[in-house]
Amino acid sequence: MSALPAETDVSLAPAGPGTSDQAAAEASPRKRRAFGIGALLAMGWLGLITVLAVLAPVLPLDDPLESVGAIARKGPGSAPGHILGGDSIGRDMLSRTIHGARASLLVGVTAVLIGLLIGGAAGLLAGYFRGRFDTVLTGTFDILLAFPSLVLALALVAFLKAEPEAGTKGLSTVTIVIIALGIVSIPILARITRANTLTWAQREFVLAARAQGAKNSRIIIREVLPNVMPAMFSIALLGMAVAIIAEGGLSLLGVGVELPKPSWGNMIAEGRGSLRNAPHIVFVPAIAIFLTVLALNYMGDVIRTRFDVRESAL
Amino acid sequence: MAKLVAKKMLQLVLVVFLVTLFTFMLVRVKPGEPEDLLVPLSSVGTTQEAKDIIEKKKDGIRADLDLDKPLYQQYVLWMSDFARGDLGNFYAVSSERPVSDRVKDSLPVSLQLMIYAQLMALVIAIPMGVYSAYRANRPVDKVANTTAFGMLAMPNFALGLVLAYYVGVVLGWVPPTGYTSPEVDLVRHLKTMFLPALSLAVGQIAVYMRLLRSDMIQTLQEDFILMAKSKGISNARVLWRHALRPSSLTLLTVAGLNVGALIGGAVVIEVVFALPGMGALIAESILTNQYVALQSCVAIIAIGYVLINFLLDFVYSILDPRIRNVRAAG
Repeated sequence: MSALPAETDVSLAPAGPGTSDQAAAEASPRKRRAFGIGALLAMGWLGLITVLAVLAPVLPLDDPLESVGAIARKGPGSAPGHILGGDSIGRDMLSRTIHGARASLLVGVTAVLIGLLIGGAAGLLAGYFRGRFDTVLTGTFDILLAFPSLVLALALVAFLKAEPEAGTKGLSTVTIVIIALGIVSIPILARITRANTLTWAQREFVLAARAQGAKNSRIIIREVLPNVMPAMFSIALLGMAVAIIAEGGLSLLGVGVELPKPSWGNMIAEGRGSLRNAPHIVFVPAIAIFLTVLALNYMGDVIRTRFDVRESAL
Repeated sequence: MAKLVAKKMLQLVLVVFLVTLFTFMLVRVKPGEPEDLLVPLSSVGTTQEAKDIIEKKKDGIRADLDLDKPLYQQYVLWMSDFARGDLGNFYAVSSERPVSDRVKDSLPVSLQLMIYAQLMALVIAIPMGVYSAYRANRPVDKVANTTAFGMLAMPNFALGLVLAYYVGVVLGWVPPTGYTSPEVDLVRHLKTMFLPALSLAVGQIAVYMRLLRSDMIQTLQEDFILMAKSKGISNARVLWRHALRPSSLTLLTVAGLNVGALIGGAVVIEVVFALPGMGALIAESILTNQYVALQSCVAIIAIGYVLINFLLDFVYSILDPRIRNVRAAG
């Protein structure tokens, strides 16, 4: 399992325009027409957890922080009224999983948005203008990419961590995790965007636009960006998956979203202690992460396939 | 070739310099005085005696980290200590222990884990990739592909915990957590490393298999494969002796690049399985505010990662003469 986007881009990166991906080409005629059953399931799951996460405070759920002694370590089905049972100190697992989705999805979406905005803009400009700006930017990002991404995230978390003793005012742990993972994703998204921009900026229609006297800003936004978008979007979906997993990894290392506020990662980290007697405390959030990551990866692939098809049809 | 090596060496030095500088700055630029971060006030109490002890401690740290010198000198002094194996200390109030002692014990554990995982991944992924390319689009291939897709979505720590529960606790085949050194008991060592290495390998298997499959499908359409087949060479021999080597270049590139993922994964997996490796050491350093130790550990990992990528560049050119010639010409 790749820990963070730096490594997944190697395996899952969309083939740039002009290169044809064997697997995508094989699967294309079928997927081209409509979304398959897999894509519908993936979108259904993502839609469902997003709605649940957003509506969590108004849904008729138990308090995710309140412990009921009677259901402590009770597995799914063995505690009436609590479908997924209770955690190690008797908090409702269903409620915690849904509230946990709030933190996990927030981290995934926001971290990738930071990467998309900063990395995407930098990649577009670097790929379009090239020259010294490109060299400096690529060099800077290469330094960040020289760190294994989870190690970089750890170093950034340590840097951002509040030190009340030393009189520094603190950010919340959710914010810290988001910023750290956002920074980690910037060079990855920048690299993908730049590579795609490089090829698209050479195309005839860009030349045509320039010949008609379009300004650089217009060419970038109206001609290049729409073509680079599918690649950015497909990587962004994979990036979200990776960020959700990374939050789990940081939680296990003790520097993720802080308890008692649940996130899927810290639920797994906390449930580790009761693995022997109550494995469901770990398994429930683990399954939630697995399904979400599976759905995000699948949708990333679907978009990539469509994008390749359109390209090869030109 | 010599020119290429020289150029690459220069690049390597530059990257190592920038990476260590970045690590150094990250810790030094952090708000608050380094000595205050390393020795929290509350750790001993508020009596005058305690305050004196702390002040003395902080003076020691200031001298140790050369905090009275300008920043660039601090960096140079840190690097020269680092290069000589002095990685700084854990500055606990009661005692100080050199970081290098801990690293000496932790680094081999992490390396063992990563090597086992990488070997396991390649040993499983290569036959799977070769076979599903040979049987492309048949049911076997489709099952393998779907499985690989599922494997990619499983976070290694979650898989680790599931395995620890089912294989370790329910079946009781191997100890669910803990570490045994190979010098103490080799069999037990391999048993304790099996689940962590497998958890780490599963994601890589999926990546490697998919890559090898798609490269192999392309290779199998080349003329020299047709030639080999027409000579009556058996399918197995064509696959393993003729097609695998030219198809394995991307796989090796990615296996090399994936060392980064492996390091990140190992950090978490070590904590899941209670292995006393670098990951555990980094986690401990962050949680106890031991930034000097953190800085050294991060620098070691980053330098190691840079060096591996550097070496792999040469391995490729040995494996594929085409790269060697193209690069030499360019």
